[in-house]
Amino acid sequence: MKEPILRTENLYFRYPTREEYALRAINIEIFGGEFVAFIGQNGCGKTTLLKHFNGLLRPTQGKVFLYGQDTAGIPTCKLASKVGYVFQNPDHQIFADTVREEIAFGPKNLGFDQSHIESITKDVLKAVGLEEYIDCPPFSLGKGQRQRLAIAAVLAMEPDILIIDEPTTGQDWHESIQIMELLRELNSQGHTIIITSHNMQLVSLYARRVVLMANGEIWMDGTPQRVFSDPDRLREVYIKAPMLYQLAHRFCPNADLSRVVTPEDLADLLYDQIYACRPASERGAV
Amino acid sequence: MPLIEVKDLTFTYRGASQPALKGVSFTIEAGEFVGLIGPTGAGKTTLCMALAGIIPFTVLGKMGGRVWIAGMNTIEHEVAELAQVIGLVLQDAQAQLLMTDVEKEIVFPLENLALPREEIARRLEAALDLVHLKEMRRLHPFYLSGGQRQRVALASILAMEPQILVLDEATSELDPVGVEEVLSVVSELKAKGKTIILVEHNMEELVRFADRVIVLRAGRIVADGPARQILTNISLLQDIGVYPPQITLVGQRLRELGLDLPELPLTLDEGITMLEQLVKAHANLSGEERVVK
Amino acid sequence: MSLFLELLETAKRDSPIHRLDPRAKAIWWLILIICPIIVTNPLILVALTAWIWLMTPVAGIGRKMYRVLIVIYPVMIGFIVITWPFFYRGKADDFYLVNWSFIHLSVEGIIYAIAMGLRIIMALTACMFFVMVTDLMDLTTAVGQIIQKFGVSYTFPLMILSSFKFLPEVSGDFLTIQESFRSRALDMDSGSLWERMRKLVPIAIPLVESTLRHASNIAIALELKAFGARKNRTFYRQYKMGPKDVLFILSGVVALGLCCYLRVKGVGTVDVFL
Repeated sequence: MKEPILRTENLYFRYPTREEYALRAINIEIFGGEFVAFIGQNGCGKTTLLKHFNGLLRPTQGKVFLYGQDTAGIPTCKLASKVGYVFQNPDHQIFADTVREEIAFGPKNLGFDQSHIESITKDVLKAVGLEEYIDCPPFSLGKGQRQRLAIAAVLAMEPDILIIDEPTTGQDWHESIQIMELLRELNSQGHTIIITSHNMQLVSLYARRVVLMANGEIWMDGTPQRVFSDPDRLREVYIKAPMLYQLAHRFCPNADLSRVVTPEDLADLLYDQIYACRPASERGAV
Repeated sequence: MPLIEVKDLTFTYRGASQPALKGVSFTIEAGEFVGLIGPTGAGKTTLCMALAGIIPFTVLGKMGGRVWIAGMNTIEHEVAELAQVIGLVLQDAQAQLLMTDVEKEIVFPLENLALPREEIARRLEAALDLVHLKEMRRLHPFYLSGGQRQRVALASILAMEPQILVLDEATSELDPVGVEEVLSVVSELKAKGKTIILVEHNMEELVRFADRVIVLRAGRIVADGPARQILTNISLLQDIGVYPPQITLVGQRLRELGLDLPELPLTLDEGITMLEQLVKAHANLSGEERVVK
Repeated sequence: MSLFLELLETAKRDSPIHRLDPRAKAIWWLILIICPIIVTNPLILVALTAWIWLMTPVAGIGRKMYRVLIVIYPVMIGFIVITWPFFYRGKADDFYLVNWSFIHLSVEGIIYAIAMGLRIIMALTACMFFVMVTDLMDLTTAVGQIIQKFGVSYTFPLMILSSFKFLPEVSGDFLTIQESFRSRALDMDSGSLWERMRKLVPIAIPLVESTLRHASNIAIALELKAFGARKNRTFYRQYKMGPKDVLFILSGVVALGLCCYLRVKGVGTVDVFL
């Protein structure tokens, strides 16, 4: 039986200046190699929970375990070698004169030696598709490119777990897909990917596990198909399933929704549904 | 005379090697709802700022061609004058709010225009009503959600009662609830006949409102026509890097599979109607009960 | 930061004192601040401080002020009592508790130190009271309306207002930036003071960047909101001083007047006890 790499035990969290709890009775396990998307309305606690995974926030009550070890007392700068956290706005971390220096910052802090840093820099830039910009100033890059640079800079520390807060907000479709494909590639290489997102369509396309939070608690936890197949429960917390699921749910209620990933998939499913109504003599006429 | 007229508009940002806009021309009549789409870097924000007069004097660069807003040449009029006719709401809500509470934010432009107090009071209440933020009037924007902040930004611009409203990706940084809040205000404005230009990445949001769509790529207009015509042109959209409405893609695929669809659906409602009709048609044809797998 | 925001929020409450004209409260405060300069008699200072405290129930801010000042008072008194005796120049007939090399601790010295501490405490109490009952934004706007009559542009008050708007955001940005650097293994908590300060250098850059970006966005937003369109802008919120405001200012004038009188009479300073 595999051990979870991240685990919380009865986690409660309250900001010191506030009365209400931002997180309540959170018990969650995340296993190596998962691709998890945390969804929920703004204020539901998803980012607050994710910040516990690399020690930026500490539990008011309860514990957080990383690879079986209690994270209490271990500072974030030490946890950073295992858990990488990429913030929503890349401009909150970019500071260096060149892309090269930007990438090298994390590894340097971790004490990697120079030759290792050089080879890692090349590798991560290749992975995010920014190799040609290695000596350019980061601010000369577009927003989508800066987001990828931020991911590369965190990747360079070689963490097993990557947490990315809202990887695609404010970006166009093309850039969003680029980033999600990158995350999928990293996941296939063995990284555990944890994201938060408001884009249900992308979540259903890429995540293999969806955790829906509301009011500081975990409301639903399962595959995208399972979570998005219950529109009533979703509506209670003001979440709408991706449009394709809504249609599939309505017109093919008994179908296997794991087949529905793209609009074309839905069309195929609907076609089978409608086609199934035709008398045998007319089938094969198409 | 058209409300907005753009002729051969070219603009190069100061210090840039390439023009951001290359000879853009179009007109917009009063009451139209125009969607402006295109990939990142196409020049949509540049165009919006040129319409509002921010370009070329506040944001510097070399401008060629002309922009007329309600007959006013934007180069010959102050932005403050133009702001009374064309209002611009930008992507980043935080960046556009200057005051420490909602009420001050909304009255700020009206005070700047030296309107009398009674007029300011009237417009303040009207604006708060329109964006449904009456209870939040004394709150600092720090305490507001993204959707609420954008509504405040909208209210502040609408208080000047401009004829034209330009929204430059006003919802792209909001969560779904915030998006809905802002778009429902847009919907009410459309119903009131305001001329609106909506820059959008998300086609599902755009199809709800747009009568006409202008497509921008690399600083040039590559298409300009009725919304239905452009947004169901899947190959065009994919070619410029914009993701077509999903329901349209579903319709396209059903057509490829051989089903007879007179028109590709654009909105979710149209899609549902189309599917219901298809199901009925085939059930009638076969005379059999619908088989549910 | 959050304490700062809390104080700003307290100023928005409703009470007879909150409803007074902000300019009246500002004038009252400025007058009151002069008192501890004129008077050093600990008893008078305690009386003045107590008078301000007596007004807190009227303003409804008693508990809040208590929570803040209960920490500050002892710290101030402790600090002063420990350091000030060394600044006291003794007199011949002082009663010395300790008189050894450079440490001259006398009873008089302690009394002197307490008096100095009370001056600061009285001033602090007046300031805290003022900040908690006055909406500084309203004050800025009110003052802005006055100075416009003298031809001064509204730009300066506007800068103050916008700073108060952006302050929580920039501070929030700063926290996020710190967190992002911590997440890249920057150890900000260990090492000498110098080392820790050096580590803050890379953090400064995104912070400056974000501030500059705010600034350029502000410029555009001001244009879009027609700032500068007319020379004499109008004001929505009007501030008129009424009889209650005048009375409030007078209470401050009376307090100051009493202090001056007592000083002239020779009982205003701490020398009475020395």
